[in-house]
Amino acid sequence: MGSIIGSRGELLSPMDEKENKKRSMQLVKARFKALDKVIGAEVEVNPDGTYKAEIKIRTGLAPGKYNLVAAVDKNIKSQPVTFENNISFPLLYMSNAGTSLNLLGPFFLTLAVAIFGVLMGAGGGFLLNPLLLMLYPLPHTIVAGTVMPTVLFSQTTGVYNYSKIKFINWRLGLTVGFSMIVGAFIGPKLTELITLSQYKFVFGWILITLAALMLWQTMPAYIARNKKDQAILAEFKRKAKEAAETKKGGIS
Amino acid sequence: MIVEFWGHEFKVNIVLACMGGLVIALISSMFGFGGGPFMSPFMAVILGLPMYVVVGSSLLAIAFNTFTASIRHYQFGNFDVLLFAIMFPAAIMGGFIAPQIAKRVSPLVVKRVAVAGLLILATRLLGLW
Repeated sequence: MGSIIGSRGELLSPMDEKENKKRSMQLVKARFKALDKVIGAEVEVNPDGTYKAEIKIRTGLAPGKYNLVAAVDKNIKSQPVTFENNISFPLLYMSNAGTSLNLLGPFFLTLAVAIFGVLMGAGGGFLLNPLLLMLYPLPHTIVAGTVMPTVLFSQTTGVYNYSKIKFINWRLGLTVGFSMIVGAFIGPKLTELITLSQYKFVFGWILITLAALMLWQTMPAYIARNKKDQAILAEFKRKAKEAAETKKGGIS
Repeated sequence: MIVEFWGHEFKVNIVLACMGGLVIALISSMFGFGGGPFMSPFMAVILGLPMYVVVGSSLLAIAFNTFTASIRHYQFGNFDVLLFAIMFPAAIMGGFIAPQIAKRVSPLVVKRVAVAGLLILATRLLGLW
């Protein structure tokens, strides 16, 4: 498979074959699946052989100097046309995502989604991923790969808080956890194999399933059951806290 | 497998639990979300465990999933440091602000708004409008 490396403005230092392949795969996977994200020319050929090429520079193009050369064949080339793309704060260029963004946008979006996510009792990923994809020209692989470590922190603190009050069954959690490691090993590979439109399609159905689940949780029958469960949960939490405190007291 | 929790014992079909965990992990790591809202109903309804057992243990299982998936995504070069640096503090701030708001709103209302929001997003993703 052939691809152009270093097309985003900044010259890359020479790489060995493995790194070369990795970098080119990155481009092929994410960029070339959406052709409008590569600089493409609209060529208009006149009857007398002259032609006009129009290039639309997309928003979020990497900063730097660009030389564009029109080539008819190996020998006939035009003079290069040079332009420079400057970006300034709060616009930042994300090298792996291959686009520049106003950093305030994702910041406030994440903030709003995180707050709403905690309130509705579902992690922000469900809302954050599709919103990021809709609002910004980001590849779906980058969105999935960057949102996952963002939620990892809140999950770890959650596990820590629950473990402090002895509210985790380690046998159950670890057994299911190990089987989940297997799934998590395969999943990211599959992200690479699908296109943005396939990602969006499946995600749409996932969200419909989630909406159905949440709707079910607002039904009277569920609320009645949940009330009982929550009461037991609160009782257990109280006991757990007491147990933890007496233990602490015993040590000191 | 027998699960013992605070003096109570529960029977769990371990094969079913692992299969379900694997499928949820596969989908959630593929699409990059936490998976908690699928994991806790799965453990509560299909495995038949009470909620107070589910909350902590499902979170532990999911943390394994998120951790592994994060590493794998990083290996494939699908991690953008800058985007992470922007989103991470916002996510932490959200975690501090949310409990302040939670006292003032009814969870039922939030859930209903969430259902509407999810459906709007879903139809948009499916290209219906």
